[in-house]
Amino acid sequence: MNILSTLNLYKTYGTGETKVEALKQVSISVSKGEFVSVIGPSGSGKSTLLNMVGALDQPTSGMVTIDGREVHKMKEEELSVFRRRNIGFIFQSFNLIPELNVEENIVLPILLDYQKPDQHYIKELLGLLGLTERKHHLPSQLSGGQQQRVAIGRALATKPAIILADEPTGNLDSKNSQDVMNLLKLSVAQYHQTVIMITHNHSYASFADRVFQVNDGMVRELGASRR
Amino acid sequence: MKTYLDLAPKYLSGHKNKTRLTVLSVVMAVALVVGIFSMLDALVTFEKAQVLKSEGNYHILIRNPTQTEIDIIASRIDVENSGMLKDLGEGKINDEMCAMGYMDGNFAGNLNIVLAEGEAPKNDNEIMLEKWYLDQLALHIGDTVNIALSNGIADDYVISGVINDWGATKAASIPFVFVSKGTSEGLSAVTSQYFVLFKVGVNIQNTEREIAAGLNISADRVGYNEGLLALMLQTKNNRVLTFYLIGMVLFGLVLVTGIVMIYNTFNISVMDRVRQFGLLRCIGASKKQIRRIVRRESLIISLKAIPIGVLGGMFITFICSGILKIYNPYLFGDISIFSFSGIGIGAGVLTGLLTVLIASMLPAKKAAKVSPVNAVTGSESVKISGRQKQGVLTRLFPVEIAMGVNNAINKKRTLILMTSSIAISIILLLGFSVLVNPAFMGMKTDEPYTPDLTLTSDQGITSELSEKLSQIEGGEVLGKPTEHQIDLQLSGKNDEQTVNEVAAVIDETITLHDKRQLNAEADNAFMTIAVFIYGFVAVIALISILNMINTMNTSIVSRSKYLAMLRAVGMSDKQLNKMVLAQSITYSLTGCITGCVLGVVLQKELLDFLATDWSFPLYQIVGITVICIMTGTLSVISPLKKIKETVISETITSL
Ligand SMILES: Nc1ncnc2c1ncn2[C@@H]1O[C@H](COP(=O)(O)OP(=O)(O)OP(=O)(O)O)[C@@H](O)[C@H]1O
Ligand SMILES: [Mg+2]
Repeated sequence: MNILSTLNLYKTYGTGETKVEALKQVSISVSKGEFVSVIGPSGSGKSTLLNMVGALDQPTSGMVTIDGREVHKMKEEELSVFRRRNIGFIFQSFNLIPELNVEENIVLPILLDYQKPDQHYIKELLGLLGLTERKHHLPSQLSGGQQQRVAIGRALATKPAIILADEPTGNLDSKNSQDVMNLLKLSVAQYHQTVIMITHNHSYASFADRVFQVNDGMVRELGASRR
Repeated sequence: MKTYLDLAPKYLSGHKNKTRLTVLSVVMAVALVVGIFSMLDALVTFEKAQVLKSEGNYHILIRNPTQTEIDIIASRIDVENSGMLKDLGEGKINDEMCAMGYMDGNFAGNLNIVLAEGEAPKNDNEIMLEKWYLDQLALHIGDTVNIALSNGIADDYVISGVINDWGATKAASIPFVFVSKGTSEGLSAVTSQYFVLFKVGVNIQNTEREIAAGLNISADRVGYNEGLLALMLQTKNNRVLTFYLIGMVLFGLVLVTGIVMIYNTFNISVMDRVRQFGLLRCIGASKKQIRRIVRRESLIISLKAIPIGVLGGMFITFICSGILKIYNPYLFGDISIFSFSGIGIGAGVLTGLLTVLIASMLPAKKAAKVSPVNAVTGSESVKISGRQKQGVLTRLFPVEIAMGVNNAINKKRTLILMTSSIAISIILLLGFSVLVNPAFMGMKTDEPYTPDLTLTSDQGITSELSEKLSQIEGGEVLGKPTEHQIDLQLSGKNDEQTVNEVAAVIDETITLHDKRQLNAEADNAFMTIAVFIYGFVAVIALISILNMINTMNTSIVSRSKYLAMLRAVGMSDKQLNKMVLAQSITYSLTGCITGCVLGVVLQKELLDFLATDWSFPLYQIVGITVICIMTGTLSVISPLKKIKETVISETITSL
């Protein structure tokens, strides 16, 4: 079953001389529980693709369907709720709220959904991330690797169906990168989630069930690397 | 953390420096609004006290009324109190000239004829006199004086009561003698006036018209207590209405200024957090939730700032009232400095709250509009453009100055914000200065000095006496004494004693005119308005300067990361100073120019409206420009110092 699919997706930035066709005729589909990685040279349109899939930005044309629902047809309010319940984001720069401590950063998406955090699950998550000791620390008191683990924790907090990660290991050393990759892998298995991850590192790309290669705005699938 | 809204207090306490500046800014805007409005309220209170004392507490009067008219008006349900004052012409008291009159006892207090001792004359052989006259002649209640009435009939009368002094009769040295009702009815009055005070809430204009029409009273027989009616907003006087209209424009402008100041403050605090709002949107915050977070922040800031601002505004009013009370304890002694708390402060708090509410609405909307993509791209929405201009500027100035000017001009939003912030204060200042105008301040006596005491004599004053007078301590002879008149001014210390000494050296041929009370009454009209109008202008100027410093501070603090980066890549402290200074002066000048142009236009319009001559306010403009540049310079000192004190790496990683 397809959890996510795009159809003839186009994204054009600017007009005239500064016009950039960041995405061209992108039609892909991802099944539930898959771990997908996206590779491609800098400026090829990877982040743009992720933004479209995560409904962070409007496509110029084409459509994105998640869990059977066409995301860009949703109203603003609906979309916010949909996003907070179904999609978790992880960015290259850790993007934590500097004023909130580790635990608060992680439970924020739950609070935004007007839910009470499941303490048991949060405890389990903190343990999984190796942040139990650090839960009252502010982001500025953490190392880069720890910060990225907090960001992953936040993405997992609402147990979203899809996790979108844009170079989650971009700022980390190989040891920390390995940890992050393992965590992502684990969460897919444990919570039955779908992951789409952009990476520059080909060895991490091979972690994935499938690999999409982006070139000049065009997306094509490399032969299934593991299956 | 219980709800996502807790982000607001966490953000605020996480950025203590910035929060303090924001709070301060709102404090100043609220203090401005509360200060100006409670000053206006106090002004009305003081003016009213003054009008009641100088004109009396009545609304209209009917000249030479018939008994029927009196009976009908007195029995009206909307009339609170009414009474007759008769001028019975000149008479003689112990062979000296005096004025004679009669006043209905129930209305005497309304016309400030206040019984100091004894009682009003009831029997036909009783009279009532002023205190100064009794003191001067060492007379007492129960004493008998000989009085010749205007009809020439002389008789002995008993003093039954004493009333407080009147400035005018005291200065003229002509005592006023009040007779009983019976005596007055036997005399023909020169004029008689029937004073009417209506009940609270009565529409005076309509009622007066109704009475005049019903009783067929011609317009020239009706008089108005213009001052009081004007203060009650029940006047028909065109000049007063014009004045009120201008007042409304100016006070409307104060509200607008408050809103713009607070709006700008909130806007700054929202503008450089585009990325954070984008991030919140990414993790599922809806637009509504973002709006709520920003509104919550505004609420927290307001809760802190409004009480302080209100207290500040009250303090300003307190100072103005204090000055007036010290200046004239006689008139304002019974007004408590805190007595206008009710409506004035209430209105102040309400306007403060409304101002904050209105001012925070747009930034909240703006924050909600932030697209989630901003979290990813990290763009702070401020686009750098106009590279060409920089080229021109770098050719004209050293690079750091060009960068500063460029920073100011290219960040369009900050530029608009700073410019409007400064400009609106200047517009307000130039607008209010219209009121600093003799036409509004009442009539101040033209002479450079006014005598407190004047000695007159028909028989001539000897040089020996004037020599003696000039030696009395605490008094000073003014100008050249003539044979018939000597003017004296008192130093203000031990005046009573000095007056007694003066009284002791003169003989019966010389009349002592004590003009102090009259002067005080005349000066007051000027003083009351002047204190408040200069108060308004001073408050606006002060708050404008503080606000400008504060806004500059905020703008530098919010760019500390950028400044740290420049230092990291090798900008020297001196260059940094020049750059920040160039930027701040650019803001000052754009604000100053915009403000002066619009302010002068407003000034001209207001004066045209008043049909008063307008001339280009050169001195004001020069003064404002100098103050703007000075403030621009002063305002960068402390934030720059702070930036230099922090370690570069700390600033860069802290965001
Ligand atoms: N907001 C924007 N406005 C204009 N052009 C944009 C914008 N965002 C991206 N682009 C352009 O679209 C193209 C794709 O950008 P994108 O960020 O998707 O690349 P990427 O594959 O993620 O690169 P990298 O690996 O360096 O992150 C680039 O040429 C970029 O210049
Ligand atoms: Mg990218």
